[in-house]
Amino acid sequence: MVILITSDNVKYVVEKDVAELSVLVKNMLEDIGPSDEPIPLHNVTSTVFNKVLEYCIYHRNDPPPSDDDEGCASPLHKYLASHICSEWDQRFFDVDQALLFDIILAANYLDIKTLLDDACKAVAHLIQGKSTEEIRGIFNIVNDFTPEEEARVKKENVSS
Amino acid sequence: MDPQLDSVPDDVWIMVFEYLSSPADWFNLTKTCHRFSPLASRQLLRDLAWRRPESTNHNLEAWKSNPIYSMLVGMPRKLTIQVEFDFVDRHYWPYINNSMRLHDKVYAQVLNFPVLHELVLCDTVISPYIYSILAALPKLRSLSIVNCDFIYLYTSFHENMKTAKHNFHYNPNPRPFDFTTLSLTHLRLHTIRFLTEPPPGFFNDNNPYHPLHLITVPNLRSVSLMWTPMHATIYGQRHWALPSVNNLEIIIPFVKSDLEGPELPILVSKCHAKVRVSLEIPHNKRYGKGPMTSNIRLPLEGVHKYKGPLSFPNFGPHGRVLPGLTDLVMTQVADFPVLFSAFVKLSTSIRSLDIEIPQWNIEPLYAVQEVFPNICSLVVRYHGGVLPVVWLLFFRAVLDTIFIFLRVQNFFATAGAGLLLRLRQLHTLKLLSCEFRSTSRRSEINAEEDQQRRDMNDYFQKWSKYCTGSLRLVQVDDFEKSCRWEREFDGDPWVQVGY
Repeated sequence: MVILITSDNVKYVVEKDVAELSVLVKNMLEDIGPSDEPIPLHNVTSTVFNKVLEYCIYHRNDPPPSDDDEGCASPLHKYLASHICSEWDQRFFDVDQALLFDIILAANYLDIKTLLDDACKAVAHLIQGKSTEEIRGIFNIVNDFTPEEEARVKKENVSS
Repeated sequence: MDPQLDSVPDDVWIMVFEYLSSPADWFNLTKTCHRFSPLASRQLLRDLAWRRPESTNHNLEAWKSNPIYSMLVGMPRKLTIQVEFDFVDRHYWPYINNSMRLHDKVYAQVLNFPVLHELVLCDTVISPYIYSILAALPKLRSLSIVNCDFIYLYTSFHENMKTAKHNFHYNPNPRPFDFTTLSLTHLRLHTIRFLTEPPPGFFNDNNPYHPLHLITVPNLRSVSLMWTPMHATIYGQRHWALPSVNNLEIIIPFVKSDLEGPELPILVSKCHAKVRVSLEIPHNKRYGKGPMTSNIRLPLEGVHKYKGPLSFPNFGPHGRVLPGLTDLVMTQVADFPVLFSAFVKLSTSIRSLDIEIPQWNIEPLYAVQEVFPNICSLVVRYHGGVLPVVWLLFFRAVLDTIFIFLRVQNFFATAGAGLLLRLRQLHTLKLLSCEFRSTSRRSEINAEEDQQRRDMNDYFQKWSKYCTGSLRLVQVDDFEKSCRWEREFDGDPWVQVGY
């Protein structure tokens, strides 16, 4: 078992194979060797870590992610790669936007590739098919282009 | 931007954007804010296209003066140039017009993309000058020249202007271009027209700058050629060896008796010993029943894939069907008797078959089952008939109460059930109505249709218990609906892909 402490001082006792889905934790465990010392997770709160843990427990037996997905030409494979297909995953990511980005930041910090990939797909799904104005609305983006810059970006559109 | 979103690192945003597949999405992102603009541009710039002169000019100007773009010259992997240049006088020009200026700017910018991997020249103008550009792109592996006009221009227009020659025949370096210096591995040459007169002493079909010389690039592995009498003449004079080419696609736009010569078989024989040849003869109304074309033989060995009218599959020696043929796409509508007589002449090695019938008819499926028991892919295109409803009912029967169903439903459903179970290697099955018109977009699908599709999806989730283990893709169209399911492995649930 591995003891992890979140930034709000909540202690978690986690099975080693689950904890090691995080490359950050795995490397720290290798560095400190056999020890009961708790591992601090400075950038993750317990609220977010509960979700991360839920994901890691559910996916603990998944095969490790492959780096050569890009070369696979199967339309089905591409479809699956760009969509969250499992119903469980769809429910998991059906959260408010703030929590979704908290999960992304945690996955990035903890270096959990599959969680980061799936969370990025969920955000991409929010953007897909949306106009510029709609994207600004989703992410509370203020248009910081001057009218001249906006016109220039449109002109420079590379799909010319 | 929301402070939380602002703290998301750039590389994570790039990952998000990589999961989008539409250039429209990327373009909309570039217009949102300063932060997203360069990040989304990276995706857009991977596959660059220049088409309209005005917007191409704007884009070229951006590459020159926009500091963001100047940092991204390493992004473009693929470039499509589809700019229609207007050079006014095709032989002599007193001044540089806008089109010439744009031409020079386009190719000057191409040289600035150090990792360009694929170049597509389509509906534009090509010239010997392009060859020197190709030679200066060390990472370029794939070149497509499709539907282009050829002119005799050996330098940029600007360089040519300096000489005061002002015509297309000025060549500062009269030595023929050395095509062996190119590092291409994939080449596509389709439809090239010669607009200008060749230099004195040259003929269009016998000059050292003809694009067909590109097939002499030493590392070429894959070549796709539109084979014309001019190509046959040029190749007949040289008989180049293409020892690395293991994938050869030949498209014959129109079969004429002057293509019956030995040039094409020699070309095939000069390729790699295990070259896979694909032959396509686009449909032409003149390929009727007349003797003009039916007597023509294309004595080609090594053909594994043929796409064309039914009257040409007998192109083996002495009119025999080629033994190595595995993929056949018939592009002419054929009644069952004609189809069956063709089937029995084909090798049982056929793995993929695409046929077109005037009316839906179950008989071709029975014939396929008997003649090609090891078939992997079967596509039947039909112009009329009522298959889809019956076929969908068949699915329902298989999954629900098959025995009751067989008693109450019609002959087609019974036959269908037997057919699928016998084609043990069938991977893909498509039954496509040629009159299919997609009338409903996803957002417009009403609740009833949506429920219907969900029901169908449920059937497919269970269907794997009944159908052959090798089946991975099923598509059924009727006039308005297209239902398509896929699965990656035997036992996987079916995934409905699109509508």
